[in-house]
This record gives sequence, structure tokens and C-alpha cells, in this order.
Amino acid sequence: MNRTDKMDKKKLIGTIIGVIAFGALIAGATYAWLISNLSVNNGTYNLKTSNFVINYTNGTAITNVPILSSATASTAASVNVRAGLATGSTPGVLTIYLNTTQASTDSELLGGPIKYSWCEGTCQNTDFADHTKTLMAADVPQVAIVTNQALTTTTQRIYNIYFWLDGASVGDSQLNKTFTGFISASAEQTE
Amino acid sequence: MKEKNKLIIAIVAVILIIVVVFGATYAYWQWKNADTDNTNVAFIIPNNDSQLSANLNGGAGIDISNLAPCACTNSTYAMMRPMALTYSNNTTQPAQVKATLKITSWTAPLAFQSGDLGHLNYAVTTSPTNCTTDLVSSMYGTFPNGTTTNTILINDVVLKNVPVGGKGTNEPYYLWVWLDIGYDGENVGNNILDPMQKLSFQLEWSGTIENIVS
Repeated sequence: MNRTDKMDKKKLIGTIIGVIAFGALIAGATYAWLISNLSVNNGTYNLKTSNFVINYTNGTAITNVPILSSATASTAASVNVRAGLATGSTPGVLTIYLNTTQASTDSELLGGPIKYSWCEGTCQNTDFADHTKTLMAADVPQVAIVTNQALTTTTQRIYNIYFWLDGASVGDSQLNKTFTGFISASAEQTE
Repeated sequence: MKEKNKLIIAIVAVILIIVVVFGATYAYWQWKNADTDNTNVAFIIPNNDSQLSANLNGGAGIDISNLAPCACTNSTYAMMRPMALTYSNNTTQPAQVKATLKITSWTAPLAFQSGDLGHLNYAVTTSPTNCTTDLVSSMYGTFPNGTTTNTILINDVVLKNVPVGGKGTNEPYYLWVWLDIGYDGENVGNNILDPMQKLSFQLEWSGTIENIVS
């Protein structure tokens, strides 16, 4: 090996060592020569999850509805349900549903005869009329009657839900026909 | 190589953003009521035949063949027929018994003068006293000019209002038909020229009991 070769080899070794040392230096806090503790104050946190529970009161079952040509809140059959936050719950948005039990509901009652409406508390102004809807076949098995009701406190909001049969839609085809269903509620937490 | 790395980083960032955004939609707690807190709604529309019924008994043996001008209380030449109404309303709405009195047969071989039939009277009362006491509203009058078969004398008129739960058995009504003494048709010799003296007709009741849809 001649002198030039020896010089090149030394340069190469040096370069390699230099790179390794540089890499160690960069990565190398881990491998620093000095170690001391991190000083911490107020560094402890106690955490609990909240809950989302609705204090819900269902109403008395409806077993009979009147045949009316022009319904009002005082002439229709009604059921009263209430909902508010349980203590400590996060707020949420309530929905109330009318569920139809398809197996025990006659199709002749869908698409005209059964009408429903709702008001929060006592009906004000045109609430009853504005909220009036017809139970359609597409509403089976479930339709939202009351939607987007913010629950923000433990005070229960009161909802009156009304049912009646439209006199103009009840004829011989509807006699002896049956409707079976129930009212239920759900809610979704909001921020 | 650097371009490729940039592309990979950008794709990863986009995916993360998408996950964060969509993840936020499904991040909220849900609640639903217990099944025991469902409120049941169930009803049957009743068959009206069993819930709403009415029967009008018009009396038996209604053959009157000697109508003649007289006071309506004349038991020989006028008709006063006792009727009986039985009804029941088991629905949730008030109801009405409505009745129609129709001429179902009319034979008048001789033409009437205008106004003649105005002397042939009918009335429905709730007492047997006479034909003007305790009249049922809109159930009295005279036979109209041009009366013929299918002329309706009483057209779907309320005979009785029946409240929810209302029931009645054999409630009395009285149908009067008489030719009043103001009629003075005349025959000459052996010829019967008076059209009223060749008249024969048949009256028939029909009707309904129906809910008043309020």
C-alpha cells in the first residue's frame, strides 16, 4: 500500500467517525453525559367523565281517539310527556317519536284517518295547527313527532301530544280497524 | 424522493383531517328512554252498527182509505199514526237521528188545480194532542204542487239529537195526515170529478243515525 492509499483510508475512517459522532450528538440527548430531573409543579390532574341522562316521564296510555272534522287541543285525545336533564348530565337535544306496530295496525288507517299534533305546554296561537300532521304509511315503523328540543336544565319541559281521527277520512273502510303503537323518546348530547 | 415524501405527508394530513372532521359527528353521547317508559297508543275504530243504532216503528196496519176534509183530530177521516223511536249512542261523539218521509207511490188520475194539494197536510208531533201541538221542527207542511211518486215530504230532517251515551226506548212520535176542511172539491151527478177523491198514495219512512262530526 503506498502512501496515497494510506492517506485516503485515514480520511475515510475519519469521515466515518465524524459522521457517527455527529449522529450521536444529534440523537444524542438520550445518550447525553449529564442527567437531571424535570421540575414539575401543578402537574397532577384529576379527571372524571360526565354523564348524559334524561329525566323522562311518560304519559298515560291512549286507548280511544275521537273522530273530529276540526280538531283543537281540547277536543283531541292527548298524552303528556316530560323531559329534562338528570342532575349532572350534559345538555342534549330531545326527539319524541310515534312508533307504529305494523303487525297490529291496519293499513286502512294510514294515509288519512289518523292525525297528530303537539304543543309544548299549553298550545299557543297556531302551534296546534302548525304542528298537525297525518300518519302516513311511510311513517311506519317510526316517525319523529317532536324534534330539536334543547334540554339544558333539570327542569322538565312538558309536551302535549294529540291524536284524533279525521272525520273526512273515516268511512266504512276504517270501521273496526286497529292502530297499535307507542310514544318513545331519545336524545343526543350537545356541547 | 423529496417530492414523493411531500406527497405522502400531504396525503396523511388530509386523511387525518377527514378522520377528525367525521369523527366529530359521531362523538356525542346518546340516550333513549327505557322500554318501560314507552307510552302505549292503541285504539280501534268501532263498528257503528254496534255503537250507534236507531229504530223507528211506524205502527202496524197503515191502510187509510177514507181521507176526507176534516179536522186533523178526526179519528175516522184523518190519519194519526203513533210511532216509536228506539235509539242508542255508544260512540264518543254526539249523534242525530235523521228521517225522510217519501211518497213512494202516487196515483192521481185527475189533474189537480193549482193549490189543491195545499189542503193535504202532514205533521209529526211528539204528543197525540193534535197536529199543531209539540210539532217536530221542519216535519210538517202540505203536499206540494206537482206531487208525484218519489216526492219527498220530509227530507233528512233531524228527528232526535242523541248525546254521547244517549239511549231511548219507544219514544213516541205521531204522524198526522189529513185533508183540511178548506178543501171543497165538487162532484157532479154520478161523476167523480174531484181529483182528491180518486187519490191513492203510499208514504214511506227512511233515515239514519249518525255522529255529528264536530
